[in-house]
Amino acid sequence: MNKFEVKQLSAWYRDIQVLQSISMPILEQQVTAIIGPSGCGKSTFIRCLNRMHELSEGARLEGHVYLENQNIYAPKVDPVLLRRRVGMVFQKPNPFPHLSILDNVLSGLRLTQRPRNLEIAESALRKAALWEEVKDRLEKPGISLSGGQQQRLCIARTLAVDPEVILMDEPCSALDPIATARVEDLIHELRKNYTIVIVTHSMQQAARVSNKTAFFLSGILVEFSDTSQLFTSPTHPRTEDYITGKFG
Amino acid sequence: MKLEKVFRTLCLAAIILPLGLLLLLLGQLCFQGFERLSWSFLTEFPSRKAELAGIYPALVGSLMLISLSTALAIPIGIAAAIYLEEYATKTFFSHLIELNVANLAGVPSVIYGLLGLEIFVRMMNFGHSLISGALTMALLMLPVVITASREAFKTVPMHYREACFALGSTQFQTIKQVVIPMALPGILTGSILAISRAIGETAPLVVVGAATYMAFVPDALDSEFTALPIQIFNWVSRPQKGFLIDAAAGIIVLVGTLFVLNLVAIFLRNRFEHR
Repeated sequence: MNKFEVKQLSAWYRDIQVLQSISMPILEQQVTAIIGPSGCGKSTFIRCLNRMHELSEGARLEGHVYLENQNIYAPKVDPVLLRRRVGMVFQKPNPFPHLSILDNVLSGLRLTQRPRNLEIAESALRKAALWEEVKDRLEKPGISLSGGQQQRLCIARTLAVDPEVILMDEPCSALDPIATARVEDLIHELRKNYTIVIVTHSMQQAARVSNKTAFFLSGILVEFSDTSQLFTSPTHPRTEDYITGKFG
Repeated sequence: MKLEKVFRTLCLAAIILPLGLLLLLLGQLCFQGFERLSWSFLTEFPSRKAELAGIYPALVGSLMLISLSTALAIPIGIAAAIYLEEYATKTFFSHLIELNVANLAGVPSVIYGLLGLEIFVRMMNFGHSLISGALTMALLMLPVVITASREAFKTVPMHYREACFALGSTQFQTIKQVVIPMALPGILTGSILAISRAIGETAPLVVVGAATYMAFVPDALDSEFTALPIQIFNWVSRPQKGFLIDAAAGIIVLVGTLFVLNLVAIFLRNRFEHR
């Protein structure tokens, strides 16, 4: 089943067009990888799925994005509520530096003023495979953790809001190989319950974690198919050139 | 290597010279005023006899003035900075406002005094009162608070705001939960700069009409008032030598008040930074 249906999506930063009429589905409870060289529009693409794109100065957009048949760019849609359904994890681990581990997990729930909901925090940390490592120091600052733990804390923070979709914008590019492997294991675990869209620089990562892969080049969707097919028998010569390392 | 040494020495001299002069001045003042410094100096009213004169009404007046103007200027200043940094779209008009606010911070304080005299004393009919003085001081502090708070908001990296938005927060929640807490140390530093500037100001208070002799302590917003710099100025202008000693002691009290305020600010800032 299709979670998202993207139709002729074009996006601009001021006068520069970064996405050109992208149309593709995103399947429910699958991992969709977006690959392509730097500046190909892959980050902009996922930022259009939770309406983060419009927060940038000079950002503009045309086309439609349907989330379960509801156009998320319809005037009556509240982007704040949409972002609770479609969570996002960023490239650089960015736990809030002024908050403890516990408060970071609960930051999306705004429970800090009232009694904090420890059950939600524990369940989110468990889902992010971080609970065992932090359960004894929940009141320590979030930034006291290692880079990989910080990124899993950010994933836990996203999970605590109980989203349906998780967008990941190169979540491992700032992490070492071991931390990367842990996050990838986590993605395997999460895809049972969530729809995941991951932007990645690494083709190996796309091959390891995703069911579907989309190859973007200069704002154009060049190829979109099953991951195994895209990496073994790409139909487009540009895709083949990219995955065999001829450019990018 | 030689040039390196010369440059290093020059830079060192650039610290020592002004600092040394300042310390010399302070030292001389302390030396002069110390004999008059006592509990009764702090708790007595001014007198015609220099050795009996105290600074009580001026000290209380200054503290009241500063508390009132701080209570007015800091919330308004932070709110204005929030609007400019977080809400306003960057148009020609908003740039014009920003430029003007920055320029206002450099306007001579006597101009604010004249503004206060015209608006608060005359138009709003508050008279030569504590509230007129406090409102004028608040005006004087506002541009400093706004500029410093804006700088503090600018230092909060954009990606923290984005992270908060991505969790489904509204802009208000993002400002309240992320932007303000992270900018707080910077806001505090700026605010204390503004308070320090205001507490030493004399000119606007002279213009607004602070009393030079007070036999009572201000007890209402519309009562007359005086302040430490006014009292000191008044003493300095007397011919008798004894009043010069009073003035020196008054300066010690003023500098001491400033010192305490700064300590409080540093304490607060460190607390918020280490959270």
